[in-house]
Amino acid sequence: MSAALDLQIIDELKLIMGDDIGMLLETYFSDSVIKIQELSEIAERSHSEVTDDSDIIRRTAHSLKGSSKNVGAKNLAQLCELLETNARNNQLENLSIQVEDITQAFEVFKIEIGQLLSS
Amino acid sequence: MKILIADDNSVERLILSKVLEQEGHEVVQAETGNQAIDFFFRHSPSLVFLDILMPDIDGYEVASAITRGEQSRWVPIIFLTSLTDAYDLAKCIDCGGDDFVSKPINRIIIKAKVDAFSRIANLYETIEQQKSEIQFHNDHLIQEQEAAKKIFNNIAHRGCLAAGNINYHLSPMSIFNGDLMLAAETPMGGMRLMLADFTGHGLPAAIGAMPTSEIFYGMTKKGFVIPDVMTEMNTRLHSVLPRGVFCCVVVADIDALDERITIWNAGAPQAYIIDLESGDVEQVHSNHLPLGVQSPQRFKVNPQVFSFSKKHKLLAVTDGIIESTNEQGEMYGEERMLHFIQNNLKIDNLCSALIDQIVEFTHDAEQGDDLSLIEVAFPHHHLEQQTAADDDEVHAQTGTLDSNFSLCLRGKSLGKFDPIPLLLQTLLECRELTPHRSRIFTVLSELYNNALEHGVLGLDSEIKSGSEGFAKYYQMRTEGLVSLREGFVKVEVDHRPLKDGGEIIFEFVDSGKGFDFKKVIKSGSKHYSGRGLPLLMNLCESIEHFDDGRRIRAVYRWHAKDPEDES
Amino acid sequence: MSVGSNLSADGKVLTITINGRFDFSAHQAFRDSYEKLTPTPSEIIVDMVDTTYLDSSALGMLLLLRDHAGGDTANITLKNCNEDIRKILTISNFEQLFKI
Repeated sequence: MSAALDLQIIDELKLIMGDDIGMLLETYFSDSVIKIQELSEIAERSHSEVTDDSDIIRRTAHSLKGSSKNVGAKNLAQLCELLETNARNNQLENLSIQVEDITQAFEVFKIEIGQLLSS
Repeated sequence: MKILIADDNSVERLILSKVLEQEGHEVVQAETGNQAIDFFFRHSPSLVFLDILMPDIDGYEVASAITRGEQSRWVPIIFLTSLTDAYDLAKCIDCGGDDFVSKPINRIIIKAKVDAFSRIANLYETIEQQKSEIQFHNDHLIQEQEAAKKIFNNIAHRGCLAAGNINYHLSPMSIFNGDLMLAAETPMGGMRLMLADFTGHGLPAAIGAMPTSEIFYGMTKKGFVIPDVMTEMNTRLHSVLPRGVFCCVVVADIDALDERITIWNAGAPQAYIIDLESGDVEQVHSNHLPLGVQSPQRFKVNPQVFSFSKKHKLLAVTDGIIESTNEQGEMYGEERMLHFIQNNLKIDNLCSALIDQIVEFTHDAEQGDDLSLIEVAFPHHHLEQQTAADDDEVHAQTGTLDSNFSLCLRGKSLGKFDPIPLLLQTLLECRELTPHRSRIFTVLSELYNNALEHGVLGLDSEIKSGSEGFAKYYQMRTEGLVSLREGFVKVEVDHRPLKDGGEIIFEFVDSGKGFDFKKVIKSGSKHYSGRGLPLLMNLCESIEHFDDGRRIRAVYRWHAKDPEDES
Repeated sequence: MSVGSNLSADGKVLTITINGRFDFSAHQAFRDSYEKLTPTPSEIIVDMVDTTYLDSSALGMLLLLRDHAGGDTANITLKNCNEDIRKILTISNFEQLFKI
């Protein structure tokens, strides 16, 4: 059983989007790539400094969480939520690691959803 | 429906779009707050989904911009929120939102909410439509009423309400409260007044007033007495008005020559005859069903007669006055009214003083709009002032200038039919006589009543002295007429033209016992209680008696164009 | 304001009661209480023991009732009228048309 995919949501999504589910996922992928890119950049910058960008991090994580929930990327969504909370409380010591995790989860989701839909 | 979605997250936007499109709605997508506002006013959607967190301005601001800018219709706003705190959710509604929906969206919930709002929006639209329809009809109605009021004014108010001896209060709206006030000079040298109150309000009440006023003016001008006018009115209203609509009325004839008032009250609050010197107030109560109720066969008028001279005043009101209520729910009532009259005898304008009191009593100036009352003092005898000929009379039409006609009324017909209007009309077919109408009427009327009352009925005019005497006399007259089986009065009228005018010879014969006319002429006016023979002798060129007083011949001489010479 | 009606067992006597103000708002209810009855009852009683007030539209409604019940041949009694109501009926001379 995959932890990355929320099958219930994905089934719903298939019903809603029909043939356009591919298009939706493309949108999701390109959207998420941009957001993850932003997070990575911030993580690199603030290696040494305590960052002022906690607000940006919070919002980006929040947004990514939202769309990830929508497409059933369960794991990814959870990780984003965690980052969002940390950013709100300004507990960003583990920023780089968290971003790393998110990037990975994203890749996993991409692969697994691809497999699911082609079968 | 056309639905606007504002969400900066493409994935969310896409999914929600798809859900709505599947339900058959048309979707407009906005990515930012400002774009949302712009698209809203450009596309006029019927429903809006707003994300709260957007890069430029947040959903709350968008919501207030929309509600402020859109005045003419109601557009429901549903917030998309991932917040769960009750406070935050409530804030959505506070800021002009109508509902909220949590993210990620659930297709079924979205469908349910959209349907619910769709129903409400339809309802709202229906109400708006009905509101404009109602507004339209209302405006229309008001216009019609304005027009009706004008027509009504022309018809109903041709009379002499502006006369110097009358004070009245009749607001313009009274017409549509069913109140009607009519006043006209009578050919017999006096004034007739009528205060009527139709049940109901508005147009139905006002319409009933039209035939009523036509009858009033038409018949009064021709010299018909109150019972005849009321009978005609009742017959007309009985047939014309729907069941359940009727007319309460007070009608009075003030006879300036005889110094008496004949008054009849059918269904109206009591009228008051006030003696300004002694302070006595005679209350005239209703003694008959209102007009329009009783079938013509059963209709019978019994007016009351009282003496009425310069020291008297008549006051008549509609029930709006009596029923005026103050804040405690108390009615003004008849006692207060009587009290007021007794304390204000010396006031010139009792009418406005009473209105002021009522307005004070009710603390409500608006109620003054529903009150009608009339105050009448003794009129000037208009035989002393010449009335102008009617404008629509044509000159130089001789009509009955050279004619002879006669009429004999016997037995029961004598008791039931008043021939004076008929005789007068026939004579007045001769248009040159128009300026003489009042005098001729007086002559005819006096001669006829003498023949009928003193001759056939044998009534002694001495009974008439004193106010109780009046009532008794006229009661006896009425009873006498009702039980009359035998007897007759014969009238012959002969009209001849002369070089500068003409001469009318009236001959009256009655079946009575006769009287010693020589004695009466000698003893002077006392015998005829203030009028009668002396007046006739004044108006006519000559008067002769024959057959022991049973036949009387009076000659009336008239001159064309300067009737002022006749005194 | 409410209008109640009660038909006797043999269908010959109809009693109509009026509670509260007898004015235009009672119009429909009052009519409904007698209009549809066939045959028309031979005797009708209008009980005003709980009637507080009567106005001219009520007088109109009574005339309609009388008309429906046969006009001059109608047998209608107005029962238990209080002082104010009696006064209004007297001024309008309604005792000529109804038994009071």
